[in-house]
Amino acid sequence: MQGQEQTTMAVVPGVAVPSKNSVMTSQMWNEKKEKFLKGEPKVLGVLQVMIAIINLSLGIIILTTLFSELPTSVMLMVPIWGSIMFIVSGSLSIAAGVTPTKCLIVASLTLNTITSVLAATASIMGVVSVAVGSQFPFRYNYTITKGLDVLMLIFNMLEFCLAVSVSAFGCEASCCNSREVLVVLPSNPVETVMAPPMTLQPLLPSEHQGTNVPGNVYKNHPGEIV
Amino acid sequence: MIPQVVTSETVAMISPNGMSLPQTDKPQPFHQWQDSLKKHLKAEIKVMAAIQIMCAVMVLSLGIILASVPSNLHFTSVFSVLLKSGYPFIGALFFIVSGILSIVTETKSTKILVDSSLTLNILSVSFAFMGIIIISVSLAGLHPASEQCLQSKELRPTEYHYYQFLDRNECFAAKSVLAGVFSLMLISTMLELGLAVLTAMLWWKQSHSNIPGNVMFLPHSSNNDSNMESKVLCNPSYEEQLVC
Repeated sequence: MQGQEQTTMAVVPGVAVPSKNSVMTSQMWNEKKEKFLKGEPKVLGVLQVMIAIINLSLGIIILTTLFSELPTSVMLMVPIWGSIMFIVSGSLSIAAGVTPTKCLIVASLTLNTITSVLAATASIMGVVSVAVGSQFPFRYNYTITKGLDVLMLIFNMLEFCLAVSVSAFGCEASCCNSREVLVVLPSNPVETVMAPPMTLQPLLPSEHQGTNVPGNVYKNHPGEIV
Repeated sequence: MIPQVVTSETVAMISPNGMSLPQTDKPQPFHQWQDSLKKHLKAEIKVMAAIQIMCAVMVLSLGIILASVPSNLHFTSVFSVLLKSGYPFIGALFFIVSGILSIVTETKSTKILVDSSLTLNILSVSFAFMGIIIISVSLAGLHPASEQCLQSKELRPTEYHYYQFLDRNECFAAKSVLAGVFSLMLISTMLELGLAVLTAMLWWKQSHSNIPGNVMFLPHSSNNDSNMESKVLCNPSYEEQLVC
């Protein structure tokens, strides 16, 4: 513990206050990152992309049938613009899961919020489409296209749930800043008690990888910039 | 203080490598490549299992849709073989169970779970192969069925040209929709096959590399007993071995 503190001060010969601020920022960022990664954004992002591709495929299959037989949602091209938005937000969730930076998390939060609104709209259109049915139904094709339409509705609802989940974890990581500030400021002894385990945890993986202490300090600076 | 801490760390890090080298009797680059591949695959096991479950749900849903189609037309004979084989239902069930088991085994890995997951993934590979063959045969059978449908429509007495036009379009529409459904099932099954092979490879390596992990565990604990500071510093590697 004391050795760690001495090495930190030896590396940074400046005033003690900036080092404490940088340590505080690093701790808060690590906590936020852990909150975001706890929601498994990579897995949810992959599921989003998969559902988007499936919805696009189902839409293309239904579009190949007769025009008079098209369900209402497919006539409005819901599978096309819905799937494109789902693919973009899913890819952004995967990127935020692989390298969690503040810009990526905020962008993922924004796009997933928009996607959840679009998914809700597509679900409502799907419900109307299934309820109304289609004009001039052929008895043979009608069953398959209606089944595919119900399947698209189910996947749109699942997409809505996934987008809301990713948005919730992203919001928890980026929007709960004031609460942490309130907790940290009034009690310095709590901070000093909290400081050693938090500093120990990020130090160990870098030492395990073989990097030196100055390398660790260099890693902290990009985090501050972001 | 600083040089002494660094020296003890380097000593602690060297000893596991020194212990592993004489036991494996393999050149170091190959061993490291194998370890990096294993770590990379292990990190993605949840993603692969999620895709597996999603593909299984897709195959099951399309199977249910095909089973609910009315059965008095020429196209029904095309996919009756597929439905009678039970692949969309039994195969999808195996895919879902193997995906769930992969997620559970990744969370807490015991030997029974690893062996069960390996067995189910191998069975999933078998079902995927069978599914690919059956769906390919069904896709090939669409064209003659469409021609039979057209011939049966033309044989009817046609008093109105409009109804004949509708009848012919019905054949084309049915062919295109069924081709799309079969293609989607085929793509899902191929993806399932690839993921099951990758997961089976991972669990096979996992089950066959238990002995070196156990051997590496013992001297590390002795190092922990000798020095408390090194015990604290080497905590992640300890957890890593525990996971293995």
